[in-house]
Amino acid sequence: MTPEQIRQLPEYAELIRVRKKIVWPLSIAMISAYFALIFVIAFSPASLATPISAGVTSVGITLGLGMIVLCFIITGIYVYYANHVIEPLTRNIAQKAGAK
Amino acid sequence: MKIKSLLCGLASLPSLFFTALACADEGAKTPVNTTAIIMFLLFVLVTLGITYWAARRTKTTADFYAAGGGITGFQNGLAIAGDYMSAASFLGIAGLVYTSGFDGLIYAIGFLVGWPLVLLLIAEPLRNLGKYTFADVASFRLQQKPIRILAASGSLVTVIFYLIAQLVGAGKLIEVLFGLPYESAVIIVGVLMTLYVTFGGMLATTWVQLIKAVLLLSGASLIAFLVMSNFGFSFENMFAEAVKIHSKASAIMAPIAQKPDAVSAVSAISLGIALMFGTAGLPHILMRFFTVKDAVQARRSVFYATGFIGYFYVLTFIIGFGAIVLLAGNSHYFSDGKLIGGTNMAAIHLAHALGGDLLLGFISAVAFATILAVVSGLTLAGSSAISHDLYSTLVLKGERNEKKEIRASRIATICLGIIAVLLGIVFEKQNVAYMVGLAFCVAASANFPILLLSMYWRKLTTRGAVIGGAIGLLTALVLVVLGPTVWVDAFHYEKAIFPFKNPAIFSVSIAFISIWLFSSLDKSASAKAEEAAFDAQFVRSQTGIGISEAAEH
Repeated sequence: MTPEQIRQLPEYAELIRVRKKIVWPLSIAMISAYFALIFVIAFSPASLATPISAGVTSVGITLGLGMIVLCFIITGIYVYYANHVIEPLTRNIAQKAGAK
Repeated sequence: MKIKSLLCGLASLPSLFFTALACADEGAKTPVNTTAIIMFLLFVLVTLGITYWAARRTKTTADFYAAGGGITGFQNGLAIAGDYMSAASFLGIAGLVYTSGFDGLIYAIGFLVGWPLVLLLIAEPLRNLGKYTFADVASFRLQQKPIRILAASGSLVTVIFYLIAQLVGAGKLIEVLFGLPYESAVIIVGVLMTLYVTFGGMLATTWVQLIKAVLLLSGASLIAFLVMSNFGFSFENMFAEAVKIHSKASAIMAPIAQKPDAVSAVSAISLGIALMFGTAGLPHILMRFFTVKDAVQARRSVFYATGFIGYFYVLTFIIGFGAIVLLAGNSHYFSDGKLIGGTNMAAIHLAHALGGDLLLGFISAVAFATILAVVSGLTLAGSSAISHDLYSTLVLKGERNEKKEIRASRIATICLGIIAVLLGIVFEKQNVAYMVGLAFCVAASANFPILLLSMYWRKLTTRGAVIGGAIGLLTALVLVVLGPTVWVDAFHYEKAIFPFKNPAIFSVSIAFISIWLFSSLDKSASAKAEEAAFDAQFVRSQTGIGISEAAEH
């Protein structure tokens, strides 16, 4: 099958649609979360010094460690989604393309 | 012949090491640590054994650049982590946490946040479109020659700056840890990395990185575990003790600069941009994605790599805080109230405080192994840019000649090794801390925009990519030189011409704008053909169909 024929497959349109649906929201979430933290550091560092409760652990440290956890969550969500939604479509397209 | 000269290398290495040791005895600053040296020699023996094994399996260009494509996603994830977690980031970030607490954490986060983007936007299409270098992808539907020259320049600039930073850091670190003179340390690192890459190619490099990653992660886990056991495994307890002892008290729980001016605010944002997008433009990291079979394994690689790297930075954070509390008041680690060997030694001293000479020796050897793994990855990326992108397009003119290309890449490796060692010695007394930042900045301003737009933007043309990419590369270089890190700290002028420490916010924007502008203005026939070729490229980048034929030719 030529690339042009693959482009006409309904599965291909579906693949592009589901990929867009996950890739862009997650990328925007990652970029905005990180730069939100950087902007707070740059323009309002004092707000990060507030302790979260009675102890010494600050909002800043919590958000910082939370950012690392967010990286794990975002990669986890994408890989789960890719294995369960994107991969079956890709296999399907490859099969059709190989069969003709 | 190959094997024979490898054996010569093997035979001469221990003697080189011991000559260096003998020299060290005269003017050594630190007592020679026997445990460290035995463990390090063991690592060298094992990795040279692997290189010998890999050399017999490295026959084609696919073997040399991509380990034959036979690495699994999990192995590659670990190797990526081994390629990325440098001794500078281990000791440097632990040291930064030790001196400033929160600020060290922010630095660590910067090195991690690029990874989800690599996963979401780069890894799979990169694997589906490329063969050995990211220039393969950028030049997929554009003109080979100009794009490859530009991509290779971006790669080489990134690699050289990164390599100088690593080698100078290595020399200084080894001087302190093993009591070796600076020059011998740089030469030993240079000789070993050249041996690994020249003979064992990507296969040996991968295994060096894998072993190093396991050693570094287990060593750091052990220290962090011992630290946490001192605080009943509670972060709050650890922070409370640290705040009590630290000279900056509770200021370490938030940014140290509580009233930043506009210049430092812009610099902070700019550094964030360089770290986040630079990760996706590092040639030695991008190259690792071609060692796996397909896009599924590439995706798996980044998943594991992100996990390992994030976990590692949590460990360095714990180690930094542990050092604040557990080193305090112990005169063994301080002279004149300062940490012996500088704040970068915090993690090393902490290892000694927790596990005596044995753990100190182990961590020192791990630090050395870490340096070797990172510089090998860099050298391989640099030599591939020379042989696969420059030599094969400019000299071979696209004619396929495996033998010549492999020979070229081996010669390039040896030349790069020599150049790196010489530069490492020249820059001994210079401040090289800015060089990793510069490498990330160039990667974010030249490599990343070209790569991203070539994969996702239909209207990208050769003219736009070449002019825009070159402008991004030059802007980054010029602004770093005119900025405070080089103009004031290195050249000792009074006032910087460009006030910001990191120019990425400007150079990345300028790169994207000029690529857009010159692509949009390009009305040539070739621009139309390149636009028309986008659909077919996109099909392949999304589905991977056609990838196996690519591996054949």
